[in-house]
Amino acid sequence: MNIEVKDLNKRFDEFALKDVSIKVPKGKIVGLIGENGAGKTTLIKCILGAMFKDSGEVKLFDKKYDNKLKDDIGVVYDNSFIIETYNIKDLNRIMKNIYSKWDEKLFFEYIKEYKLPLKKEIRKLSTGMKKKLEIITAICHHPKVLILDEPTSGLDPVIRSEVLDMFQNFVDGNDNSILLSTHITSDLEHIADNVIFISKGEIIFDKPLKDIKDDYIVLDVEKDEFKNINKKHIIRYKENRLDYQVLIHKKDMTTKYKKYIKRITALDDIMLLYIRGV
Amino acid sequence: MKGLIIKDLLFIKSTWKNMIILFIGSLLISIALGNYLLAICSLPVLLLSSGINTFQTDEFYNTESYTLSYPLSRKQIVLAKYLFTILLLLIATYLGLMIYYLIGVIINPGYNGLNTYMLKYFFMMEAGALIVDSIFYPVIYKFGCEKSRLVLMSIVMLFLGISSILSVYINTANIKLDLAGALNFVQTYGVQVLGVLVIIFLIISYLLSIIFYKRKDY
Repeated sequence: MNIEVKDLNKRFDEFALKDVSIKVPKGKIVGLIGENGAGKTTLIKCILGAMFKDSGEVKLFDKKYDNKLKDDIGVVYDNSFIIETYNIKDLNRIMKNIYSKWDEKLFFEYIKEYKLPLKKEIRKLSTGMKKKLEIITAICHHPKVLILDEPTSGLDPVIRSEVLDMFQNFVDGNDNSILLSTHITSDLEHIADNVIFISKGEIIFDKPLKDIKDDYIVLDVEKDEFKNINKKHIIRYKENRLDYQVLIHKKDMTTKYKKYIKRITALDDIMLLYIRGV
Repeated sequence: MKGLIIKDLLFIKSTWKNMIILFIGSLLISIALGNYLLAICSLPVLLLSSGINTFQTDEFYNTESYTLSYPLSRKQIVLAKYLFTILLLLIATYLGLMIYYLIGVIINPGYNGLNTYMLKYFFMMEAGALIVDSIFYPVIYKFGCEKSRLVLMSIVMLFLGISSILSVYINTANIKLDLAGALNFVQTYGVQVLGVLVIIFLIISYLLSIIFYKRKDY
């Protein structure tokens, strides 16, 4: 395992991570999904040591936690990076003195490839450029793991696609892994091997994406037909103005439910029903 | 750790224009007053106080979580800040001596006011700035920049309050102070006493900063 978290607890006044256990296997992209405030960033900060855990264990690369092991981790936070009055050359000067394996040549190759201006202050770059720079910075010391907190938020679809390609290239054909926290679940549908769903500080499920898609199905049921759904089959449901959305296990699917399937079940639907459904 | 020191030095580099403007201003005032102490001390003291500005900039750009993802322990991160401050002290001393030399030799050759007393005051100003840094750093690590202003204002108010009470007590008890003797003591032993105080303050400050930073969530 590249990352293993066991029974992690972290308590705040109005929120707590409760007995969180996750695994990020070698060579896999693991998506971490959940609503805002579900505990994704807190979990990531506990893994990276920016926050202290109350109890539990974090192992990196099958070893006991040690700050030196972070030399093999690349990080992209949603809202934390370097001082943005610096330029890319300054950033390189800093990073080559932080990471033992910082690859200056690779860094400038990427900068050239993505046409990022060398001398412009980072704060003057566009959101997309800044995000690309953060990702390039995260991968240029040849880490074994990337930990990414909302790396695609605020990006347009074209740049999001480019960024997702960078993630796939990072993992393809080696033992590298990614822990990718996002609330844009559609990003994960294309690249994630496993998905961890966290809500209100608790892990709801941790499964291969394929299994999730094979396990669940969402039915769109008109109001007067809701009574036709066997209550035992309902995992969650949500009442809308015109209809009900009902989450069931695929194994409970019967022929009489077939007419209610109107679209492919997306991770978003499952997440939404778990969070807002009853 | 070297990377963090470079990060802070790059921040100082980005503020050099403001410092030069302030230095020119203080030089003009010095020329008008015929006393060059302000010109000699301004740049070094500005430089030393900018250690505190690096905290504010880090907080403004929210860099702390990112910094904690580096392969460094919290102790090393704190140590980097103090080493950076000592580096600032060396740069400040070098600049101060250079300005002292330039004023003495180039701008105003044979100027009588330029003497060893001025150098003593310069070192004392440096020591004062370092003591301020060593008070600020642990308070910032504990409370963050915003709250630390309030905490430090409270400390200053407390200090002023105690001074006022002492002053009233001295007046009512009719205690006679030997101000000339005190001034003489400062001029004779000021640098040495402040030098020792700086070392004590820095050590205590460093230890407190580590304690506070090791407990803080970002």
